Amino acid sequence: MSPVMAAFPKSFLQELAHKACERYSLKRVYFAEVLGKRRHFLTGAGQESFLPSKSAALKGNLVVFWQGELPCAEEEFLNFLKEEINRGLCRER
Amino acid sequence: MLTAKEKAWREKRLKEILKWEENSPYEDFIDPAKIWEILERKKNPDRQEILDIMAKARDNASSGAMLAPEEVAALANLKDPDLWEEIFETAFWIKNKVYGNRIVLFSPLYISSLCVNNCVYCGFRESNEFVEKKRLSLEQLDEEIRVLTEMGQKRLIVVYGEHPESDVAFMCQTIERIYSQKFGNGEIRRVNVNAPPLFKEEYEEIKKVGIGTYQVFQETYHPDTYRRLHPKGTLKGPFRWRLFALHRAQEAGIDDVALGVLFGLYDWRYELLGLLYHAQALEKEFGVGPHTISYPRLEPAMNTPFSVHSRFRVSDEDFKKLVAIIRLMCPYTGSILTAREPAPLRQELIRKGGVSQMDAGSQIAVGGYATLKRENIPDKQQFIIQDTRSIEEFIFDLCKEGYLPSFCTACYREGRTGENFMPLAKYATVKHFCIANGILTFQEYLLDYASPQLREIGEKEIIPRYLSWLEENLAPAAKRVRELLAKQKEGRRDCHL
Repeated sequence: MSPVMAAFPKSFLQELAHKACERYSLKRVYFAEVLGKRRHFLTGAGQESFLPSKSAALKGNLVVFWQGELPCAEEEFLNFLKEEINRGLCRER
Repeated sequence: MLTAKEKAWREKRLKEILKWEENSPYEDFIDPAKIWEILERKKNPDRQEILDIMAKARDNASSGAMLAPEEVAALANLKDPDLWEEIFETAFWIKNKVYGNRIVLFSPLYISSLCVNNCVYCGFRESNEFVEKKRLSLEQLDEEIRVLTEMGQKRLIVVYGEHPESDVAFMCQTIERIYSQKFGNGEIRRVNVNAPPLFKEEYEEIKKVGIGTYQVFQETYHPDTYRRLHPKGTLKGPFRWRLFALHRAQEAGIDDVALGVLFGLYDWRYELLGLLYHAQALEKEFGVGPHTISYPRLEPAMNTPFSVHSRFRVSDEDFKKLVAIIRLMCPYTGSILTAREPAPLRQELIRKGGVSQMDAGSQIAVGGYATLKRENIPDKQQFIIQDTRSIEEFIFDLCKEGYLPSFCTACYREGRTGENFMPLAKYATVKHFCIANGILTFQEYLLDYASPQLREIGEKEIIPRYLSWLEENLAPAAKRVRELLAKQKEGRRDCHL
């Protein structure tokens, strides 16, 4: 199992994607693992909009993609995800 | 002749392979008697049945379903030429419904032809001393990539033989090397792999370097034929090891996998059902079917009599049929037609077979791009290539017929892989990305590599036509593409959705 998948169970990331979609009224949020040029899909939530996604690194090789307009600063959104991930990591330990 | 070291490597690996086969957790999905029973039962399909199958295939293009084995057998047995014309039209319709009217271009890159196997039909078999076998050094690889990127290529399928000198470590090293190269605006953005079956742990290593798709062709799904053509005691001998190669890849987390048959080894109708059962088995086990299906046809190879005399060699007429059937059978899959086939047949099959990916300007000798100039060098190649058009010539021919040439590599870099990619193809929505990214990558090619003549037809006819299509179907995407086209004209590169 890859380090990302070992650290973040799929169910946890799926729940987080749903939460992020609802909280920020985004069309789609999904997570991927960075493998060279490849962004290897892990899990996500919402509906594909066929418009360009934005993406940002979260922790280690984990990246998030989102589609739709954020109602807040990008930093706030990413901080929310990072905090949730840290909280999740603490729970796992 | 193999060296003692090569023999020892082969023996050790074969033992491990046979051990895997003994403990294989998977249920066989190929039953030759059942396949022949279905082909026999469906040997005289009536007109209405064929019309119903075509209607179902059109529906399947938006639902992600595949045809049933009985339906594929009925199509394969059909003789009526009028109905065949309708099937060809259906194949083209399905391809456009799913992917749009674009053709994705790639180039094969043979990195190592050294091989410890002795497949009867293959020019690279270890006992064939008439074909020179070699492995690229990293410096030679760089030179190949320089030439390929100067041709405008962005996508590769890299090919390795089964040999200790082209093991997993070498594969990873060379793939990373390819990705690291940049020559001006030129770079390779997607590396697909055609290589021998691996153990799960080895696939995990390959996965880490960020490949596109992993291809393993079964060659033939007929076990007795397989055993006859792949001698016992070689690594390619064990049938089930190869049959479940992509199951192991999926287990290792490689979720874009690709199927293929070498048509001409056994009855083509039987092989179609083999491909279908394989696609069904992957879907059942992992929920993700084949990313692409390839259907290379047996071609003459130097000092390889079987490649000329096989009684199952496929005629052009049957070949057109099988390509179209694959499109109807599995509407969501990418369909790869290579330059093994002659140019006129390839052009015809875009329209009649629902082909979605093609190579051009291909060299299939190891080191071929840097050293050869558009001719066949039989003593260095696995087989003889037929379509020798350059990328420029091939693209020009596509444009003349109104197709959109595409160098798109966006999906796997945007997280649209595996179970995220499949619904896009299965519900026929991926074309929105395909057309948008096709336009962008085609413009990039026109700006950096094209002749004035090609640039004229590309900028004046093809790009406006597909932008209009996008405008009608997804206006916000068209708006974004227009913005990105303007940025590319200012010098920005690799714009994609």
